[in-house]
Amino acid sequence: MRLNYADFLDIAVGGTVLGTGGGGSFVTAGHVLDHVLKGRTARVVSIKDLDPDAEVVAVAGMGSPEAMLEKPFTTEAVAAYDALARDLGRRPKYVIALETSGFNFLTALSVAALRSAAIVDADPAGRAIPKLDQTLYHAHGYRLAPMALADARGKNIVIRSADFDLAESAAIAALGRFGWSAGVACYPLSGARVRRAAVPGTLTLARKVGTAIRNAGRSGADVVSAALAAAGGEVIIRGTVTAFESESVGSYKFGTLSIEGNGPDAGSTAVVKSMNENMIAWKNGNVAAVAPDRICFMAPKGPPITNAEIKESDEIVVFVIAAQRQWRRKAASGLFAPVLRAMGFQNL
Amino acid sequence: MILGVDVGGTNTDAVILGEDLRLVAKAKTPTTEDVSSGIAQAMTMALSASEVEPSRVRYCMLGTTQCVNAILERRGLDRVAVIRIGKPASQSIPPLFDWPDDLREAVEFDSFFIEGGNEFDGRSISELNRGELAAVAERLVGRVDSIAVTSIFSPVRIDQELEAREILRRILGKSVAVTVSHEIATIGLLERENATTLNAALRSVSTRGVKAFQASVRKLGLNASLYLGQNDGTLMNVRSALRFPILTVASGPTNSIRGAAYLGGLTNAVVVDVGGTSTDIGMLKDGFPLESARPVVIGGVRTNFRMPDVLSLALGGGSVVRDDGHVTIGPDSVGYRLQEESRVFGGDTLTVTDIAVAQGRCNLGDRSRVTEPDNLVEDADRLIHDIVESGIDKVRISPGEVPVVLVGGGGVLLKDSFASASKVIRPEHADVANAIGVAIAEVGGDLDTILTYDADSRAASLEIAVNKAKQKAIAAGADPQTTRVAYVEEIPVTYLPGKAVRVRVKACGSLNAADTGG
Repeated sequence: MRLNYADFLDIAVGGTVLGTGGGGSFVTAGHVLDHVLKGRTARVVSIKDLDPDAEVVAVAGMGSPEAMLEKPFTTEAVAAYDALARDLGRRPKYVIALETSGFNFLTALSVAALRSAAIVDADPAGRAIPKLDQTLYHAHGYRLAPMALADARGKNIVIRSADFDLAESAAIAALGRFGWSAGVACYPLSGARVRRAAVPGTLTLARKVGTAIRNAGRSGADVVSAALAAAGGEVIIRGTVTAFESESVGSYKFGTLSIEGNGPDAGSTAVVKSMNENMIAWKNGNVAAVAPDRICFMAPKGPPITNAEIKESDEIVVFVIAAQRQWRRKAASGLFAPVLRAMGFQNL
Repeated sequence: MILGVDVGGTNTDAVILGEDLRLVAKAKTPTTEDVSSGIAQAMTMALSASEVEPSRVRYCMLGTTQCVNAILERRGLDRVAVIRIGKPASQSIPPLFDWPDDLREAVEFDSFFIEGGNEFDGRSISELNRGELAAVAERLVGRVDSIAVTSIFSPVRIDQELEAREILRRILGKSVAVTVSHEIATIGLLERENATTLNAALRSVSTRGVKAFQASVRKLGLNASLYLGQNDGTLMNVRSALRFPILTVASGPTNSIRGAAYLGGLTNAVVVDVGGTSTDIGMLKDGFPLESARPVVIGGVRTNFRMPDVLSLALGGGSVVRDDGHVTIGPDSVGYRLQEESRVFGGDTLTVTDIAVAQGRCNLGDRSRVTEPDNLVEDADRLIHDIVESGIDKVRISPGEVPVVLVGGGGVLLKDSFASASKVIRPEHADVANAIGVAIAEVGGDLDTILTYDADSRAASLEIAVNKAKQKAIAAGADPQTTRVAYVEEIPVTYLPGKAVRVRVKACGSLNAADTGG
């Protein structure tokens, strides 16, 4: 099946909504859409049709959303794919996004489009994640390296190590040298292993949510209800942002978002803590949702909103979608524990 | 006494406010081609109506849509040399990439990439290539009047832009205007570059406009401090207005919404401002215009300003009504030529004003000159109101009915009820809401500095910064009792030791009533 610009746009919108407040800003997704994907198409393959012996490489854009607002991200991931292919001595015929987000779906699509690879309708997270050790690939013990990072001009580094921590540290260090914006290609895996670990159908779901939002917007219907129906979520609060405090450490932005409810939620308040992506939500002082359950944002008026651009007095709807069954494996459910503990959530 | 003037597309209005900001007099006159005659005329009329001694006017404020009109109409803009400092980064997206062709043609002289720029943490992408910049400057001598300089991550580290400005001034002389992006907008390269380029393109329009304002004021023998209205509802002095014209482009809608709030005595309402050519609909929330959640697009160009969320409809008093099988309204309008061209005033063109008169809602000109059949007139009237209704629906932020304040010269043309309105208020003096809005605009004080704080002292450091900004506002004339913080922005500056943060604070307050000499 081939996707085109109209699909890419819907995926950008739906993917950003499903990206749990992170995964790269919608503006950054727009840069990839308009400067790399325009006029191009990409072939998608479902996980059940994926040849178990095929080679699938995960690609992504990595870094700080703010850095990407100043140095627009375009073909960095393609350069990373090329660097890894040179190192492997062959060009993987399939790519997969490293996480669910508008920006990273489009990044993976851009590699598929420009390198005539097919993209797998799946990803090893089914949401967006702040750290590389929080994917289902990691929970399954798959090897991260060989891994390549690159900038748009092709400056690249290839990391080979059997040790995850070493490989990840090297990648973060390299990312700093790249100014906190780089393409990455990693986790070269067989189709069989991808099928065992990844959450299937995530690209299709992003498109479904984006299409629902677009149709609702055009017909004047309530975009929030349309998105929830498509995504299968439950509202935590509808309201206005009263404060957003954040602290940036490297490419991580630790945020505390305060919301005052309006309409049916008048009189309620909510707080969402994030580390690029949303981790915990409280409503009226009680825990309403915790990662890996997906705490998502919708802007009833305006483009999809992420923690990278959220501001005081923004209108916002916070909703939660239960984590997929792939997250209920013991190894997976504990992936966020260190982050959650640091945020003050003890009940694990 | 405060003299507020609003130059609209059709009319120039003036109001005089006294102590406690009460309205003393108002005047309205058609906007003139040269702009300054109309301003002088409106001010003269208001002064004589008020019977106030000109010497008692202490403050004179101007709100004008000249800058935004110049952009929308692609008229009178300067040709700009666009310089982006940040090579080799960002070269895959050249400057002005997604500008509408006609605007780009009118504005862009040429664009240049220069080595330099910074990373997120303040490190250089490359050192500023002074030789490369100087070579570009030499090529520009005698060929441009205005330059826009945008350096990657300049909001975090301003050195390279400041040095670039020095180099350009040295080679091109002081007559060439240089706009640097960190003085215009915040993080978001393309949007900031767009805003900087628009600012550079408005230098002549702004100079002409300010000079016209100053000439009118001088002609009247006024000895007042002059201000211009900004996007955020505060005032700018003349020096700032000449350097930052882009910061005035939203002052029209801002003034209309704030003027409507003042006149209607409301803090939450939908404001419908009906002009000669267009109707602007905005939302008043807790006394201030609701800001747009979407990136603000000016004339087809994306920026990252926070501006009032205003829906502009091509529907005004002079909009042309046609029947080509089905009724249409506009988008064209006879504008300020209403009194020559519309039917009730003896002309041949059927306009929205004619429909309102034919429906008996207002008594202007000669009603019998509207000879169209009743059903056509009713269809047109229904269409006019459907357009406004759906506009109100799009703008309001909560379900349920909301008060609507009708302002602008064309407010009288509409009915008194809308489906989503809990009540429709037509305040007295609604026709000069914009002039009132600029007259009651507040005075601001800005602070833009780098603070270093550790985890415990963030609150304390911010409080000091906030107080400094408040002091600046008070020094500029704000009443201490009403002075408060408008916004605080913190941008991490991780290249400096400690937890360094660039802090931008704006405080504002109403002009000190005790100072108005009213």
